[in-house]
Amino acid sequence: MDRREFENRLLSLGGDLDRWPDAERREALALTHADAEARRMLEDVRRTDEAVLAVSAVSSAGQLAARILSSVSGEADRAAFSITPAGVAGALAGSAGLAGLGYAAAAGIASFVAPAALFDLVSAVSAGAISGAF
Amino acid sequence: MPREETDDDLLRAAASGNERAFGLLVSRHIDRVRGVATGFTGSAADADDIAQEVFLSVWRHAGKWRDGEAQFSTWLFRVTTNRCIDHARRKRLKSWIGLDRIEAIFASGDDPERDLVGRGELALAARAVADLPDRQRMAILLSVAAGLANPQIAETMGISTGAVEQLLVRARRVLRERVNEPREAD
Repeated sequence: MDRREFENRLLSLGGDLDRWPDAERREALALTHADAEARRMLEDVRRTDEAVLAVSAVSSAGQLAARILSSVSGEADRAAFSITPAGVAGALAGSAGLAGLGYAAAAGIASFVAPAALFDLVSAVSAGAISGAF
Repeated sequence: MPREETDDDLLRAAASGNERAFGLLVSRHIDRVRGVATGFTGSAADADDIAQEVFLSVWRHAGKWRDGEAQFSTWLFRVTTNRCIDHARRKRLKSWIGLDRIEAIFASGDDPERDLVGRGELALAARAVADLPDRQRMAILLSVAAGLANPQIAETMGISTGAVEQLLVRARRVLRERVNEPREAD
């Protein structure tokens, strides 16, 4: 891989070499090891991608999640589904890592949580405290 | 140890009205959906509205999902892409008929993230992203904010992988100049 080809792949695949196909990553690593200009090009694209990520960075997604789930519960109620706040809270508690307590236990906890606590739970979910297995 | 439920498992459960499964789907993907929408619209408030529309659409149409046809995330970001483009069209229409100026008068100005991008390097980056053509902007956001690989972006946008690569090369080339040489750009 020469410098020109590296730049083209860099602009196409981005500055995170871990996301490149294996063969191309190996060639890119060899080039950047040997060529200071290639390292500078890589650094420029990394900064570019970081800037795009910063522009799209999000916060307080937990409240949005609560808003979405609330809307869905409203729709489901209208459609005569058996959705309850306890069920929603149970889902969130489960996804927040309380899997060991089981769904029934989570629903039991949920019957005592205030709306603000429910928001906290959603925040925990969106902050990445997700076990995913329950 | 129980098997982690896949997106497909959760979507099937959501299709039958299981709100626990839907809640987990939302928690898994909301940051990336909101990130793409924020980057595309430049507004956290608009991004929230788009993300809400996207997930409500997932809830309403979960039953139409066909297992094995495409990854759930591809479908999710296709819906996100369409909503963002619809939003841009509505915004352009409002601008054309002057509604945007009326809305600006009534805007509360309480969007801290919008205020944040009004200053400094982040402002330059936000302007650079906003100035990209729609398709380039969506491609770079699906790549960076959503973390999709180029073939998945192609499937999401309904174009070839080669076309995605061209969009990304053009977008990154422009952004690289504006982000890394902000003083010269001014």
